[in-house]
Amino acid sequence: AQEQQLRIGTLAPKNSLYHRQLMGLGEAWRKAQGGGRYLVYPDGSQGGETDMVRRMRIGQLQGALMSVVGLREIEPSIAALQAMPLMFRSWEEVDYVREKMRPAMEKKFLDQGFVVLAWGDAGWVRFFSKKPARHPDDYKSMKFFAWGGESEQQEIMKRLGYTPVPLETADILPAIQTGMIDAVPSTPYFALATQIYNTADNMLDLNWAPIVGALIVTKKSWDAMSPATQQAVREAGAKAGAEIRAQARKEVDEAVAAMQKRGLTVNTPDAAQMQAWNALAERLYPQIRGRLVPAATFDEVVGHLKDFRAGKR
Amino acid sequence: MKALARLASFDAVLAATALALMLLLPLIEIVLRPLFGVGIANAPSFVQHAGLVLAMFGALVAERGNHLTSLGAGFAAAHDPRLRRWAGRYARAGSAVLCGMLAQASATFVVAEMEMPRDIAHGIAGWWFMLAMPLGFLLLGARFGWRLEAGLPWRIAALLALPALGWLFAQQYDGQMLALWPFAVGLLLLLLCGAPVFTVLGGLALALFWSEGQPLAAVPLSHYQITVNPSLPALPLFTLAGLVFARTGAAARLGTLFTALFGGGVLGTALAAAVLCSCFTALTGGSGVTILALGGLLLPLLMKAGFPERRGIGLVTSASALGVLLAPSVPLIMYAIIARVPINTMFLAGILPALVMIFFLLVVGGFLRRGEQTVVAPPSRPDFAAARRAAWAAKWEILAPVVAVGSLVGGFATPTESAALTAAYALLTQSLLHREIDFRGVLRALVDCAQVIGGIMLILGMALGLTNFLVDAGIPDRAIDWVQSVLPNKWTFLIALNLFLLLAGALMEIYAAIVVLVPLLLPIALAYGIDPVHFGIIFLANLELAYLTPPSGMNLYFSSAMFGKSLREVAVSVLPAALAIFLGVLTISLLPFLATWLPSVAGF
Ligand code: NA
Ligand code: NA
Repeated sequence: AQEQQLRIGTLAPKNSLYHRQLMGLGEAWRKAQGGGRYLVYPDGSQGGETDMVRRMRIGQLQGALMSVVGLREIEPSIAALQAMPLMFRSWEEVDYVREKMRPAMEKKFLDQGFVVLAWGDAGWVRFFSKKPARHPDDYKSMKFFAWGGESEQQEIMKRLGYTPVPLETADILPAIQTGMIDAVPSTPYFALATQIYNTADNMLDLNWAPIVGALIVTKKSWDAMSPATQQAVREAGAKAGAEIRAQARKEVDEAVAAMQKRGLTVNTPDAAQMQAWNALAERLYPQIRGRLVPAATFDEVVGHLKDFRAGKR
Repeated sequence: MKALARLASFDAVLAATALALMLLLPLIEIVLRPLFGVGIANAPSFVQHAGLVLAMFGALVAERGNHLTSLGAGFAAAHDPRLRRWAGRYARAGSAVLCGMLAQASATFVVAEMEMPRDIAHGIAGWWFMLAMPLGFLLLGARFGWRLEAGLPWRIAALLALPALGWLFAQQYDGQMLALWPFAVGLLLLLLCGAPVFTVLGGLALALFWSEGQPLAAVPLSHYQITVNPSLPALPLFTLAGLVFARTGAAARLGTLFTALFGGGVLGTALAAAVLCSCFTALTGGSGVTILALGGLLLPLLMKAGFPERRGIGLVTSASALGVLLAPSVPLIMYAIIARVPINTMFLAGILPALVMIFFLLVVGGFLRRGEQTVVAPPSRPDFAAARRAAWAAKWEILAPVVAVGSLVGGFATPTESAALTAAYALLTQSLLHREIDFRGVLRALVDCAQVIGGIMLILGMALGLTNFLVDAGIPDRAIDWVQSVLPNKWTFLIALNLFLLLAGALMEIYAAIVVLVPLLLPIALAYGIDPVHFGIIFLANLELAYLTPPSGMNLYFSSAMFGKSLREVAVSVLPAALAIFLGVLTISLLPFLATWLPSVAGF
């Protein structure tokens, strides 16, 4: 008989906290069942997130740590946690809503053949641009990176008076260097790692949307584990998720500080500009609801946020 | 008429249509984007998937014309007629069975995708395009069976039974652990009997996944991944541009210009030949087309300047390998894709090393030496009035690199769009302004390009399957540890790297080498603190040499065919050039600023 195997893919860099957490989880898995072959593939060495989903489907990988970009290939409603700009004002709000939606979301993933072991974050999306900008209208004269795979998002941007340039992620750096695009939405960590900030050296200090992720394994590999192993892996997953979330919160500030040292300018919107941003978001929501995010899931998020803000005050 | 007859075949029609779409959609995008902000919904994705159709059916066209790359005929060209016959049979039958296995693995992949269909746009699912894979492999298998040297009933039986056998075997044993060595022996024999490189590579990838009990669908998935890579459409489009220039008077016009510029003496003619071959190779993708397009023009010129025939052949054959470092050569783009380095950074990085290589070829290779040559005609001096006239006549060809590189560096086109623009530019200038290529000629260029790219893409896809196995088995990590324990510093590593690449270049197919070796070696180079751009230039410079080293050196085969010389004669004639190029490679390795200075000046 063949040795038990667990192969996990991720875009996270080798030796990053994400990678180390995955290695720790593997130790727990191996210890619980007394052996087995555990492999983590960092740096996207098994391809992008859509490729990793495919490799899980054919049984080459048993799991992946990935963002909503890959997760929504499995369950589209997960987009609710990432595709609604300015909906969440803090990590506390993200945590609250995610915790409320978690049981139902995990059930949906199970129905699609995947078990969620941990939920994590990768920071806030902010706008990086060549010229300073603070007001939503400041961006109207700029050409915006838009991911080629998302035609509906481009449609929405266009209707609001912006100029999206549909490109692939690999094209971002050359495109901003050559002036094909002037602005890129990106997490500070990604902007630092890919050197986008060298050319787009202005950052708007506005948390546009969180990048949310999860560690999932296939139901098939989950069912092959003994109940004791499942228990141990669940606990290790919960611990890894907590560590990753704590890191993501620090990472945003650390990455911004590192880029500031190397010449990044951080622009903070004033009260009036903030109001304009919120007004823009209000105009965006009706277009996102029912198109990018299923209407029921959208309303659910709004409801949870209302509860949270009522309880807080 | 001949072109029409060839077009009557559906594989050529499908492949050429896919290529035409890949050309037109990005052009429409370039126009629409500044006008309306948004182009066609998901045009890049459509273009990338058209690439999959182009690859599979282009490969079928290549098979029909017997243009699939193999490492020479081997036993299939033996003196003993019986050995020859059986080697040929074994190569075709084995390839047919392997294609059946690849078709089954592809079908598994497509079925997994159909369970969770993913729209490209307008309700068109990605798996519609993916069907090209199982279908293409089945048809290739059937073709190999049909080509078996045997009676008609045998051939019909082979056409049906051999791919079916492979299919059933793969279906039966997918996911189980099978021993590697029977496959390894069988595949080595296949290679020696002249089977296409892609079937051997694909078979090896399947066998390796089998040896670990991993799913076979990983191989077609990797093939899919590389064919629909966002940067990949640049390959067929730049190749199309090159093919168009190769079959019009462009080469002659440029030849006139260069000889007028440099004069007709030894120095001038050699310099003109080296520069012209390099530029032409950069444009045509370095697949030997240069020798075919320019060989007939340059060899007489060189001999008129006093070169003995052998040295003339040596110069043309080796100079035609030198364009690899110049934009927009296919290997240069391939490296950028695989190593995830911006394409325009690589374009700039290659310029100085390319000049260094030309210098080494001409000076160290001894092509400027006078010596024993008997001068047939008195050498003409550089004639600037004639050069001006020639430059005016060749103005559209001179501007082609400006279109290719300018649109990219100027920031209004993506790599794919820049390639489409260059191809359209080539087609329009050569058909409307020079009137040297008509509609039928355009169709033929499309089909020929599909055939060249189809063959390359299959090798790339299968090689990526092999690479994916290496990653899957965790080999790159172990390689880093091992190399670092053996080689103490950067300089010993660089020397060892060059020797290794010299050997690999002799044995491996060029594109397979990029796909398999870059992911393996780049992390090691990074661990020694070598810049990825510099590493890329070292790697590509070594590939230039690989075009000249037997048994896999493509230029030797093209040159032998073009000049009607034996392979041995050609190999001997390029020997001094190959040595000079190797010294150039070492120089580029030890002087990183040659590669990194221009990109840093440009702010990349
Ligand atoms: Na690209
Ligand atoms: Na070679």
